[in-house]
Amino acid sequence: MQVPKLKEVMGQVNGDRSMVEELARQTANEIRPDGGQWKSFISVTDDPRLSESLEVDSLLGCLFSVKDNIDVAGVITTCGSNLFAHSPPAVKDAWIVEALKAAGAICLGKNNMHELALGATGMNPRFGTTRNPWDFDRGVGGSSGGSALAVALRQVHIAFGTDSGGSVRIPAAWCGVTGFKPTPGSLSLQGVAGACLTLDCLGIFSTEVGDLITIWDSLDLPKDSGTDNHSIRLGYLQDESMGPVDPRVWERYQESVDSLKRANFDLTGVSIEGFETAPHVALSVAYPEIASTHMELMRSSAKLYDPAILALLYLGELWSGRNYLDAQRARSLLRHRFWKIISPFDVVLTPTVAAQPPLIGQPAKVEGDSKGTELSTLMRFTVPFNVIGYPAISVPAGLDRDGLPVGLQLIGRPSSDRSLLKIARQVEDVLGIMPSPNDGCTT
Amino acid sequence: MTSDKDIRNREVQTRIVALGLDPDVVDLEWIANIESDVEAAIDAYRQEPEFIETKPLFQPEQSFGRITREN
Repeated sequence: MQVPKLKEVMGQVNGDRSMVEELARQTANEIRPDGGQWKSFISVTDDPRLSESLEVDSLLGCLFSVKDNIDVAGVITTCGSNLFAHSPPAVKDAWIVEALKAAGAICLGKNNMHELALGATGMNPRFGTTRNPWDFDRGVGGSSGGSALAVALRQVHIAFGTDSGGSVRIPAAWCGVTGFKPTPGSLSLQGVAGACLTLDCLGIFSTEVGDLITIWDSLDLPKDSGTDNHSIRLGYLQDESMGPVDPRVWERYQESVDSLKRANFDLTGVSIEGFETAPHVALSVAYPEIASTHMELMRSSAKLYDPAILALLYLGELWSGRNYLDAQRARSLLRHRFWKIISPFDVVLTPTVAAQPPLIGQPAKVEGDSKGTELSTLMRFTVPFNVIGYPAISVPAGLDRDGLPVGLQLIGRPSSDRSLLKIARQVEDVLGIMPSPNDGCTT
Repeated sequence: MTSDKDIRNREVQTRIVALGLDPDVVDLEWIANIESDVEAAIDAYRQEPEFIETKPLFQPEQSFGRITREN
């Protein structure tokens, strides 16, 4: 069963709350508690109902899910890890869950994720590895892979994840859905078990940008600093100045840029120099921040951690204060450097990920890129914008010649989240909304 | 003969033990390599003329959100 489009449901319910609860129950029953073969969910709400604290009907009919590092009252927040699999249930909803429930949306459950949000492959030995809806033998990326997958499979209208280096945008690109990472601080992280104190952002997935705008406008957020009173100017990455890209991904990216040109968008090619080591800056910030969060647990429960994650935490403990502080300085340098690039434009376009989604168990790679680590291959286009705190959204750019989805990333100016969404919708109008990959598939 | 790699790994091991952590459960060479790569990248920024006058970016607006679990 695929949930009907959000705007169709919202148009039909006409204030009929029992109809909405029936749709929620039917949909939840279709999602197996173990996430089915796709492993999109860790837990599914038993008897989904409208909240007793419902204040307005602005999202009545919206069905959503959250990554399992976001608290839902009465449900265990596992963070995708054995460490928390038997913890007490959360006592309170996270801010975003509370806000959506108060507007009439219903939470259907909690999505699978890369363990502790500390990786971008989507592999999870405890709760199963999320499978790509376009090719079952490939991964979806992460760390918010289950949330992206739930939206791609039309199990929910909207899903929430967290993004510290690309964890929303990478799986969005590889699942063929839209993934939005707003300006840091725009959405509260209250009730979110984060990974990195100064890099984390709450992010949102949907099948189309209009649904993101519906959600954004339903939240009580500060006014956008963007302006609507001029024609849109887009810069686009015209070369491999940010590093090598798989030729099949680059081909689809170029075709998308050409489509926008034909639709009379004002587009100018740019190089984005000086960001090759942005992933290293992110690591120099992330290691000690992650280690500080896990300081006690890693001593008391080391055996419950994946060895690769434990090594990362050790590195954080060993990290010098000088390296951490200087990485924060490097962030300021990079922020200023990107401002010079984006200042003539409203938005800058890049591919979202340099590589195709890899086969399960294999690293993401770009052929001929002998120097690239898996980390830089996965995150070279996404993590720079966590490092400098700019908002970014990945919209589907269609399928490459192998039939795999490619993401187009739009980077906006800080605190111009609403304007970025509006431009993304105009881009989506030209590129088209991705069809569902799962017609006829069982979830 | 002890190689540079062995010396580096042993140095990482000593620091891990000093922190009260178990060095036998992690890949010491991986830690040593990543540490060296990331430090080299940060060092490159230190050479940039404007670096020393640049204030750190901490994004303090995020501080209202908690990052650890309360329950």
